[in-house]
Amino acid sequence: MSSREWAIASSESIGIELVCSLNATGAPISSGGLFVQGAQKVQRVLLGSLDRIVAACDPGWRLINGLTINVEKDEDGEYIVSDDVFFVYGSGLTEFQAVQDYVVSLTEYYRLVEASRDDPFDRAEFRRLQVYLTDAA
Amino acid sequence: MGLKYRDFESLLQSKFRFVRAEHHESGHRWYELKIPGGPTIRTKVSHGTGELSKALEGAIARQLKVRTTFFRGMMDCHNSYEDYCQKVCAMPFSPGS
Repeated sequence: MSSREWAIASSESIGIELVCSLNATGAPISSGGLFVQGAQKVQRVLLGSLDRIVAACDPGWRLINGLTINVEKDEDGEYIVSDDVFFVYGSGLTEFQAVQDYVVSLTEYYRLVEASRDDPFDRAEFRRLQVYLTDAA
Repeated sequence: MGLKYRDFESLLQSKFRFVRAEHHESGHRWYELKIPGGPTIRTKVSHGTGELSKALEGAIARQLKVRTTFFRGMMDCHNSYEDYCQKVCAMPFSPGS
């Protein structure tokens, strides 16, 4: 997927929208477009069916509340995507690959926490996950 | 010189007592550590080779619930397993939060 396709998909079909671009100090630079030149970090919001992002993803996975993700490009040119709620991250050679890796990681994290709900800390974490993510399958 | 993926994964298990979580088909390897009296910390090791970038170090540090500088101390022998557990337990976690 090219940058242009990604931008279109982001706004129209995948359920991902650009929130804002941030400079090195975290101040907003722009409210539109893809990466703004000089921006160190971009935030986007993930929402909707996750199988639209990762074809192999179980079709039941759905984000029921918008989850803000941080998109960074590291010194090697690799993209790192992470969130500030569960601290899950993904990486890839393109922004879209990194988002896909993030989505897979998020569903894996959900499964790990779900399997450990006897633990009171994980029970609380699972409740937090359920605010954002559901597996309807 | 940066931290190599394999060294990070090795230290995570040998020094910080993380254990491999259930297998995932994606190629990610997840590790877990149950902090005595505290939460279970989970972190993912992706299928990379070579060295961890600064951005990746930051992402991993946040997953381990510590700052990047503390994480680097964990990897270069300044911060022990006990230091790490103490650091995580000092955070405002509670099952009801």
